Amino acid sequence: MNYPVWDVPFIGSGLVVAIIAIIHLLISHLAIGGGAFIFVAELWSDRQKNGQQIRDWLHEYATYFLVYTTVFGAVTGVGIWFAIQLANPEGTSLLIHQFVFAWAIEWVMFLGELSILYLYYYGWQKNSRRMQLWLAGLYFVTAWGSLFVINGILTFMLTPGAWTLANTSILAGFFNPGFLPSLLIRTLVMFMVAGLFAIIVAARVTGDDNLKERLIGFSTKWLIPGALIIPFLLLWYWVTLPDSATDLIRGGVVGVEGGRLEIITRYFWLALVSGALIVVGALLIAIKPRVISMTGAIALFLIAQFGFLGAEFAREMARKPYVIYGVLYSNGLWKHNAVNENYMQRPYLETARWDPEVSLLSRSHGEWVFRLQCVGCHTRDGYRSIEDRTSDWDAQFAYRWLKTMHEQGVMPPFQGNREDRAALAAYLMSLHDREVAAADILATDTLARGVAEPVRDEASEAMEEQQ
Amino acid sequence: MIVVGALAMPLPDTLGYAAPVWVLQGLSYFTLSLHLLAMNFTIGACLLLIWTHFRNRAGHAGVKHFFGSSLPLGMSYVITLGVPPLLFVQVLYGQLFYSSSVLIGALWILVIPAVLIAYAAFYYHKLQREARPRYQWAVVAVATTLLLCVGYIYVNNLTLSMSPDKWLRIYEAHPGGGILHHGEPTVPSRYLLFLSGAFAAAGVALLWRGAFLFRWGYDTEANQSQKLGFRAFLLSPMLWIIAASWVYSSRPEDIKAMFVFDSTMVLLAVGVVSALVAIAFAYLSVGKRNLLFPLLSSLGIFGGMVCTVVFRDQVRLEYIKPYLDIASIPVNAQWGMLALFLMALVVALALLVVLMVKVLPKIAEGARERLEKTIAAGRT
Ligand code: HEC
Ligand code: HEM
Repeated sequence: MNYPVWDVPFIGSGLVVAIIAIIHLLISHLAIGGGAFIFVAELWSDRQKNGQQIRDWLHEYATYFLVYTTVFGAVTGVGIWFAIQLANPEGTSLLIHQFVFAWAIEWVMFLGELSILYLYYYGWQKNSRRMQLWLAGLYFVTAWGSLFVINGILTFMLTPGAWTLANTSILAGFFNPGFLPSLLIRTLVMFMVAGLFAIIVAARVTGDDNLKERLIGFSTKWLIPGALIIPFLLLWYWVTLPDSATDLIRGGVVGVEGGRLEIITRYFWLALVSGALIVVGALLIAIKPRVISMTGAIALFLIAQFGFLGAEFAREMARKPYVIYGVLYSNGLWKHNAVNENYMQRPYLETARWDPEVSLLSRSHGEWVFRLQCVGCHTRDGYRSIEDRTSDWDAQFAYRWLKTMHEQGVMPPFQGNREDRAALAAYLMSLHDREVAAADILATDTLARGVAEPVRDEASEAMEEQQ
Repeated sequence: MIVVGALAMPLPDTLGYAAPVWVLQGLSYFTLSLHLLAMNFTIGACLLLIWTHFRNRAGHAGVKHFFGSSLPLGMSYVITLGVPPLLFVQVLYGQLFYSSSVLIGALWILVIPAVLIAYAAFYYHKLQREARPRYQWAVVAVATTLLLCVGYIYVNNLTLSMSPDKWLRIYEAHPGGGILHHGEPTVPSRYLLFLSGAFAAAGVALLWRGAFLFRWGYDTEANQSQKLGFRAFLLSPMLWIIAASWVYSSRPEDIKAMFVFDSTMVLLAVGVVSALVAIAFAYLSVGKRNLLFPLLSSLGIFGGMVCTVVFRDQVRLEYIKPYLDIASIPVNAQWGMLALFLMALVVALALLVVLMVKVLPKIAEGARERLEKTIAAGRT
């Protein structure tokens, strides 16, 4: 436990990250796809008879695009960084130290992208046609370059591939198995998002000539490549995922009651259904471009937002219990320590670094174990609430469950000895106003197992089995 | 916990530094100075915009308009130029920076909505000020307040990151991070120090503007702009002197000892000389179409900024000496990646320069035409 855990009441640190990330994902894809859209639309306008009219419309597109992507996109991008640094300092530190210069290159791309966008936008009346085309093209190249870089780092987290702590080759980590399918999916998705955004701006167009129809026709075409190819890319991406992750998506999470917590599956379906709805919606719009209103177009865009929500949550769940798959657990426990029995059996608070002085088996003991080990993923009474999840538990059950909690496949193994487990179990009970003394839990357990062998813990057996 | 009063200092990242420390520091110093320059400009522009709104003298309308148009851009570069220092501070001092950020977590994350709202407000102001002129000053004032809060949170975080001895106590009392670095005597003075450049940065922008206005033949407007710019500029050295002596007197004795006959004295001297150069050329800029003087004045401000930033880092190293020796952290240099980054940077900057040389004159031409229209409409 190298870093303090940010204990956010009710929402939980994970949800803070998720909220910012979901907003950012849609906008950042728009920021890149929109670059391609503007470039191609500039070219297209040259071949149309009312080219100037189209370019005026394109300027309107660019205005919304500029404000939306530079304000909301840039700030939420920095926001993700702030949030992951709070929610998971250890993991963020690894990503930063391993990929410093990749991040730095990403920033160069971003600086270029932003400055070029300003030159394009503020120069639109005076620049030559050639210059505007150059700027739009260069904008897209730098923006896509930033995607290329960030994509390597993001996919690394779920599929680190040949990268290990012993082989910290940046190439192995960056060009990991998920890199290519993810890059292609994102590229096609961002064309779709650019098209959807254009439909909104085009829906505002009025007038008797067929400008609106033509703009809508042009915009909907941006969804075709994605609709046709993404399903195949998803299959490819699927096979690169770690087995346990695909199991999770197929089967959901098996809970204590034997019931299935199929959240991950639901998120996955949410993404797929949103995608399908968007394709159907765009098809209808393409057939009857006149009828589409602003509201309808915005609704379609919001469906895309739901699609990103589903995809983001599904990916987050697929990575559970890790932040860097197979290397670092979400609560700051390293995999190589997790398989080290001695490490795992030590009195937890002796090694935890960030706990204050507490007396053994007190409520604070349990609370600090909870804070430092569980709060990274759970809250007490809000998001992924522990109160809900333990409402019909009794102390002995909690005490035993903690030993094998990692077998669910979404949680890291418990760190600490019997006292730590008892203290945590008592703390969990206290959340339901059931005051159980941790010492009693230990005593009952010792009785049940026979006084002869209290020292050897079943948890260590479980650990051995794992190895 | 068994050990009483233990220090909660995280271990450094096992991956070590990806480049020698001086490379990382150099990159951090350079980019952070640019960040602070943009930040000071933006805050100074806000304050001067509000001030001109209420003074409402001849020539003020143009100045107000100018600042209103530049705020979104200024904000954009505050953020963009803040990113690389954010990267390098995590590389160099991750253990300190992550810890202190979590300790003030709830307030730290509020930086994001605050920046978002302020930035959006600047665009709202710029795009709506003509259509809905009422209360536009209030929109800017709200944004300014938010930015001032953001800066304050920054100073709290960074001073806290240098005080590991306080961490555990703070964390125990506020695990959600809902508290700032209370009771730290250097916070207010340090805050003032980092914002003292605001008037110089915004003032020098008015000197630039004036020089262009002279070139375009608007002598009255140009003179007003430059006079106001220079007078605003002078506030900065005054604030700086107050802040610097306050910072000095609020520092612990062992840190004060650093100031005596040390390489830090050289830094201080260079900083003061840069500032004097900036002031001198600002003075020379007034009433002239010459672009070299505002340029030299701007470089002087930047030089002063760099000295402040380097000095600030030396103080940080002095503070954390008992807890962390960065020389002991292994360097696993990624030379190839560093080279790739530098190449990308050079190519990107070269490209931007070429594009700007071609496009900026056109944008200026557009601005001039709009100005002509405004003047014709009798609004200036
Ligand atoms: C890596 C993140 C993570 C950590 C750390 C974590 N959990 Fe979980 N936990 C989950 C997920 C994911 C689920 C399953 C989905 C759900 O219930 O929402 C879950 C489910 C549970 C459940 C419900 C189990 C069931 O079968 O009904 C309990 C109880 C629980 N966790 C307790 C804990 C405790 C106690 C700790 C700390 C020792 C902990 N968790 C640490 C992610 C985590
Ligand atoms: C918009 C309002 C902002 C203001 C007013 C502001 C102000 C400041 C101030 C006053 C400091 C110096 C703090 C000190 O040393 O005590 C600072 C440092 C810093 N700022 Fe900003 N900032 C702003 C936005 C940002 C953003 C959006 C980022 C990130 C993208 C950022 C990144 C940084 C970093 C990383 C440092 C410290 C680097 C180091 O210690 O090496 N800032 N800022």
